[in-house]
Amino acid sequence: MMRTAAAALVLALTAATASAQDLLVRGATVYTMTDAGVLEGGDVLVRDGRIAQVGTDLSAPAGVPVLEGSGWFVMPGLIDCHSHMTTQLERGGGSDRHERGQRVNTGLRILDSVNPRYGWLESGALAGGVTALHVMPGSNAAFGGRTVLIKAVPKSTADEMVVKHPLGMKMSMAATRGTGTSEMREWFTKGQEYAARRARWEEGGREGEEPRRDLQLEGLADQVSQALQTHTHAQTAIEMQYALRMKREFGLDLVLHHAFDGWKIADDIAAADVPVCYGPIVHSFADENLRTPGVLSKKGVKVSLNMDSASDFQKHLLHAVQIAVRYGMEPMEGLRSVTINPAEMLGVSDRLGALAAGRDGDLVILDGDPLSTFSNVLYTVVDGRVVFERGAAMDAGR
Amino acid sequence: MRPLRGALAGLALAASAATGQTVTIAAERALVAPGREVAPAVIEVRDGRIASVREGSAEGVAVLHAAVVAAGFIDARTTAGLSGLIDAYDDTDDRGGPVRPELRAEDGFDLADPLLAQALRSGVAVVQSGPGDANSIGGQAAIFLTSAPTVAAATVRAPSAVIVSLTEDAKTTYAGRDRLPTTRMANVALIRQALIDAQRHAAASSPSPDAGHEALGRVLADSLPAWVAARRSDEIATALRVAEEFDLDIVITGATEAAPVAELLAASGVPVVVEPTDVARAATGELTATDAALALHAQRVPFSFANGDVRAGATLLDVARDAVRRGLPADAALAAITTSPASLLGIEAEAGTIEAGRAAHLVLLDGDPFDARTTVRAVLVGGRVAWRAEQVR
Repeated sequence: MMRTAAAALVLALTAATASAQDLLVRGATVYTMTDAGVLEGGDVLVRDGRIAQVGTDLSAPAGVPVLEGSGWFVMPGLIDCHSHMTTQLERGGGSDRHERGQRVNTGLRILDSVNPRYGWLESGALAGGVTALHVMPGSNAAFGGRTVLIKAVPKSTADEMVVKHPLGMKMSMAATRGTGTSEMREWFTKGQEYAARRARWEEGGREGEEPRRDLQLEGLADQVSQALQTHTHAQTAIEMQYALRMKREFGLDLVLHHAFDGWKIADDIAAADVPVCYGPIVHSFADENLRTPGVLSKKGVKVSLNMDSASDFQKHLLHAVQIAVRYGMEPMEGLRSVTINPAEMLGVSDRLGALAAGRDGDLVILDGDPLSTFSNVLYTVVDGRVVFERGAAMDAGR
Repeated sequence: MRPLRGALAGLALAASAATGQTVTIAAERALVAPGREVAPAVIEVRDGRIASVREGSAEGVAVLHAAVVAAGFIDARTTAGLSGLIDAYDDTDDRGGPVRPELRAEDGFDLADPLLAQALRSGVAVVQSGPGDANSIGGQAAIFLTSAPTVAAATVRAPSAVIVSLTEDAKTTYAGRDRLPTTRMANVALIRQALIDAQRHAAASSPSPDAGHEALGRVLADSLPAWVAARRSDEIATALRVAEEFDLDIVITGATEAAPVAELLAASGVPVVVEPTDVARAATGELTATDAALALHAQRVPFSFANGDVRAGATLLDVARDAVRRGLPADAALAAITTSPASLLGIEAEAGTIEAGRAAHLVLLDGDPFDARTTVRAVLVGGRVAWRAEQVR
């Protein structure tokens, strides 16, 4: 049965490739998010779902549809590094995002809770130019489960949407105040012991009885060995300090999420060389917290912005950029914070987050500067295919 | 509804009257197999088996007349026999924990279950009955006749499958009890860990006896299929994901939202059992069992209808009729309640068609089975008239 199921997935993938489109956007302002910077009158050519060329005065290969982009702005598809989309549905079924039956859920995978149907993906993510989502379990438990990075285009199965799985382990420092931190240490220690026990058995030529494979301990072992990143909810300075201590003590590959108080401990975060996924900006509590993205990025911290959304609010990610810029983030850094920065912090910058040959053909095309609140997303393109279109249909082949 | 006591008394009488006797059935049409018809037909039943099927009219000896006779229907996935219509008699789902591969259907199977009588009256002669969808791993199902003097006599094969559930039911059973699972992801983690533990048990040199590990060990060794309840399309995708990880032989049950993943199911070769639409527990949207059946038929995915973990309401025949009303060819609908479930359960040499040598499971109707006005007039199980309406035409 395995062979046939695998064949099915291959078939599905082949089908996706065959239907991926070619596209040339011509004469637009192109934010490449690479060393090439911003191209005025720039062109982006996508072939077979991947970016083939970025430059000026590109000619359209035969049969490739052309979008005349004069006056438009093009940037890489937006990536939200902290999302709950597809784990809670528009109707029916309740939420599959927090496991409430226990505090340690390192054996769980959010992929098993992802439902591409009725998950607001078109109206909630694609309509705002958001093309990739780091979907994580919620923050009610100290350890929430394994995370996944998916493309925001609904497919018949979650597996076909996966960019990277498993990507990290979701944690919550909010669930671990007081005695919680000692409990967390105990679990990480168990993870270390488990990893050591398995390693001894492997190194001993797999002699004797195999240590029991335990999904929960395996998750913890993957965290302490950095096979998995650790993505933790940490809103306040004290929660972030907890997380930084855990990183030091157990060698975690840490990313801080929310980080509202980040400006208060910016030097500590910078010294620890830990990336920060800030947001949601609409839920930042104190006004001065909105300075955090600017303050941290100026200290050299890699910052991304999130909407922390499970519904249609996901689409306002560019507004988060606009607000962060208003509160002091450098404009270009603001655009990086929803493109190349999350791609780098999630370990997928070879595919996502920049407009350069070989990357996935994921683009956002706007009728104005993405830093302006007056601008609209005209087209969202994923793997070379227009998956959202505002207004008139494009004039293919012109 | 006919009073339970009366129905049981009828069964007992039929049993004693039919033993060792010959029954001759004359029918205007005999649907001997999907796409094959004999009209008019005379069917002779002897010693519980079909002795002959021939075209023509019965003379003199006919004891039963029917407008249409078909092979007794087969419900490949039900809780009938375990569930009862009254909560007090409900033995479907144990609530002591979500992973229960050790539980066996035959230990809870009750021939007096009114749901079983309901199945029989709607033409069902054979069921695969087992735990419901409320636990991650519910237990072992078995194949039973819907009418027999004792559970032992009713048992065709036990166990026949291990019931696994990926549905909303499985994540609500323990909600509010500080216990897994309350999410789909935790449900899957429990199932995966149980399979991993069974792998370890199977690989051990002298494992201590453990009924649960052993049942899952048979699933891992492909000597017992896992019947996985998956109503939503994401649940179906998850079923395929887990089956691939552990190289399992699975059957998808429920399958209300099979349409969006029908192509994938076709490529996977996994058989599907379509259960009645159950809005309360299914599904996120507008799709129905009939949509699933039509999509699977279009993709040539082998499928069966079943009553599933549905305690009351639609019968097997009702589900098939709705699909025919919306365009499923009658042959495909008949196959989905006779020959398809027979092969799925591995009893195709015994049941599912009207042929000499097969067990005499027969349903007598007063019209075309897929006409909503048609009623079942009598049902033979193993050659015995297990139920008959007060008057057989």
